[in-house]
Amino acid sequence: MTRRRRLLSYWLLFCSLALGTIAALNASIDVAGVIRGHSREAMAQFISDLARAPYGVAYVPRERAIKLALLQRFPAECYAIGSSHINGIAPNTLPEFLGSCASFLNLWVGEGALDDMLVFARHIGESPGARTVVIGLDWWFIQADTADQWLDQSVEVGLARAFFAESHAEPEAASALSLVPQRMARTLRYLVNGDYLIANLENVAAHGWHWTFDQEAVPVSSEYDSEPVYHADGNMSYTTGQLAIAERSFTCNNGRYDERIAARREPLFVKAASWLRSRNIAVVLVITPVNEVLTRCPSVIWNSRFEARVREIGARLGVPVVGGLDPRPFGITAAEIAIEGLHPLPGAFAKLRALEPTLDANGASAALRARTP
Amino acid sequence: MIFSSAPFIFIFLPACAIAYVISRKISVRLPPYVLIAFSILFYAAWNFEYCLLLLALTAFNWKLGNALALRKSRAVLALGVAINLLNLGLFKYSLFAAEIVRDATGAFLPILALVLPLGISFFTFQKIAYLTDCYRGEVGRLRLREFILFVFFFPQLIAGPIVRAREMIPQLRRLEGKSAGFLAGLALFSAGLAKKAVIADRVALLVDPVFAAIAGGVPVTPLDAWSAVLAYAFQIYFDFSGYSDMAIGLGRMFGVELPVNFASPYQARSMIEFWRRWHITLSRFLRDYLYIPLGGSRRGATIRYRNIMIVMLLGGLWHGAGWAFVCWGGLHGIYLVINHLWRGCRAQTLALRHLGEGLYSFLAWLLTFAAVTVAWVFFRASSLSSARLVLSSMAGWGTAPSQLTNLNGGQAVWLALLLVVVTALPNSNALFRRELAEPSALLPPGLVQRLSWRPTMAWVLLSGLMFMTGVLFMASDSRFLYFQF
Repeated sequence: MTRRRRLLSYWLLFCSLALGTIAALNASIDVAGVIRGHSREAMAQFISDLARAPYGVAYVPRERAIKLALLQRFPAECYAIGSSHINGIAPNTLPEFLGSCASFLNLWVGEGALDDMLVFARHIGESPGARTVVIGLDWWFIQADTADQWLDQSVEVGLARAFFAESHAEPEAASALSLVPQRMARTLRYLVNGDYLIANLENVAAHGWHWTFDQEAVPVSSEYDSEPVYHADGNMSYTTGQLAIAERSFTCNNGRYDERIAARREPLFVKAASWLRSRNIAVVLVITPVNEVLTRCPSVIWNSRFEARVREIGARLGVPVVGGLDPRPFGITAAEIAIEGLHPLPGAFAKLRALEPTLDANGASAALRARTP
Repeated sequence: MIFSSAPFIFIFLPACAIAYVISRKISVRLPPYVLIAFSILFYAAWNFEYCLLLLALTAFNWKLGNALALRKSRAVLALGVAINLLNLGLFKYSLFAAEIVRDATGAFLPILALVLPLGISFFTFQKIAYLTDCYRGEVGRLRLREFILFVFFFPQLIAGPIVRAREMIPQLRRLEGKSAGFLAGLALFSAGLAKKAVIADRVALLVDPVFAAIAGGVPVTPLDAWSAVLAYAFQIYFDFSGYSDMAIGLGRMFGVELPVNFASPYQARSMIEFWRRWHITLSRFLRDYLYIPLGGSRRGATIRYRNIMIVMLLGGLWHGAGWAFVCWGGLHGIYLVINHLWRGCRAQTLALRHLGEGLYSFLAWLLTFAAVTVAWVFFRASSLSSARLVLSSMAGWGTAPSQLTNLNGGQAVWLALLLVVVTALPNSNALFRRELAEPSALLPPGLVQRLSWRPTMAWVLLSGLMFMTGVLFMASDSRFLYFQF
């Protein structure tokens, strides 16, 4: 073997060993459960710990798995479905619609979108005691495909899509099998991923080498402020640090503003919402306000068109549409909308009210058109 | 498929390298065919129809080139250049032209919304250069396989370096006998990957929110505006020079030495020097195929400045179909004209005498760097109005700035470190092509020599480390900035 060939072998060996070690580290810590997933028993234990913890448990980024397990284990009367923007909705913050609920679960998930709604709606609709579902709609909600974020539970998305598409013959109806390559690609991405390595190491620094999701939830005390805290109703408390940063730092959510309601997916949304109503479950649509400054961002300028569309859908479904992008009509201040200027705090939700979706002759909401740039 | 993507690194490149090595063992005639097949696959993986279009254009240019090599004909050359420019114009500039007509007359021209073929600006220039070289008698008749490989050779296909037939063809004819550069090429590729994934993509996080806010009409603080523009100066440098390093490294892995494209441009002490260091193969193309044919500097100062302005305006337009790019080119043209005027002016000698060489040199660098950085505003902004808003934000003018706060302490340190890297450390040329090494502001020449690439265990580990960090931080949705041109 020539010297250069030997060196090339060393290079390959070094890179393989190093990347292999990192992959092993990521797989063994796997703070978000994106590689190994989790066992049913471990999730059941986590949910029990969460329900028992008086002040909640430390945040772990596995919203979808946790929320689905919560929904299956502790079915409630009322629910909220949407993205992190609806974190904070609860019976006491939206009393007009949720005030009489004996039990409530906020099923928000990161970047929550239509696929998440379909998964949750199917379970909620089949749950005997369900009465009200609040759906938080963001501008990407109907467009985005979040199927691959369900990871080891991708079968849930396949089932939900097929369930709601059945009578509509939607081209959307994906089999669970079609999500397998997506999941494999995503798993590989996380195995050899520097950002995920950092997140895993940070988790080790916070909780020690022996902490794994499969072992235990981390209950917190009333003073705990190191990480966000999950509560049994699905809501999450931000840390003081996050809120402090949130006050001074937020930016236009660029990269999203070219998204629009996908015409082919809108019927699926309407179908799911109508199905919930047919099961005597009240549906309420929520548009969360953004920081006043962001109302001038391209995304929000575009969003106002989205808002008009949501009001039209609301009118067609005959359901109330609560809130709106502009915080001013509700008297919501900048301090009441946290992280990125997009996440209203509980106090902001309490100020929201329904704007009547009155359609004009062109099928557009006249009240909204006045506010659309 | 981009160089900094998992499919390229873990599937395409190993498959190509293995096939290349095996083909060399089977027959010395096979390697070029292997490279042609993989290069076509590389482009077709993005868009099969456009790959066919590129193949058709390649065949057309080959025919024309061979005809020109046999018999000089201005008409044939003009036809070839026109067809290539027409193709570029159709895909890249038709929408822009329609906008101009609409703004001027109010008339709406029917325009097809076409996807821009990847690398169209690069391969158009490459073919124009080839035809011109054939016409000038600098390139002889080529075999079809030679020409296809010259055009399609995947390391340079999408974003250059813009290569000339006379520097590529002899190398492509000797492919059979070369392999010694594989390890060095791998190391250079790894360095480029790290530049792109670890630096350019990360620094973009400081750029995008501010420009997105401004595109939405939200003014930002001067600090945010300056930090975003400075960060963009680093982003585009590390992105494009990282890409060039990867391309040159890949070329070397397959036995082809591609021309260097960057030589520490932010160390330039004048705009003239900047353009000798930034996107060198484009500057070379513009000089040889536009500036000199226009008359260059041979017909007096006025014509020379006119030529500079024409070249830079067209150079700006080449980068993108929009007024902001034209302004960027125009601004650089003005910078160059001022630079030439200053050079011919007695004030320069006086300033040098009064300030001393060190201070004069520093001020010249500072002014050059500031001028280049400010010009990037036009390059990055989505429109002229956005560019105006960025510039007014930088100046602290206009309406009250938003609550956007983009820069924190750590990021400020990160930017400062990058400034040191681009201005004082040796570049990849110094490390991988010793003959191109320049003195470093921080490191003594002997040390730079000692640090430069050698087939040693230390370099194997270092390049492995760069490759690994690059792979770890590759963003799945990342794009090279110059792919759009």
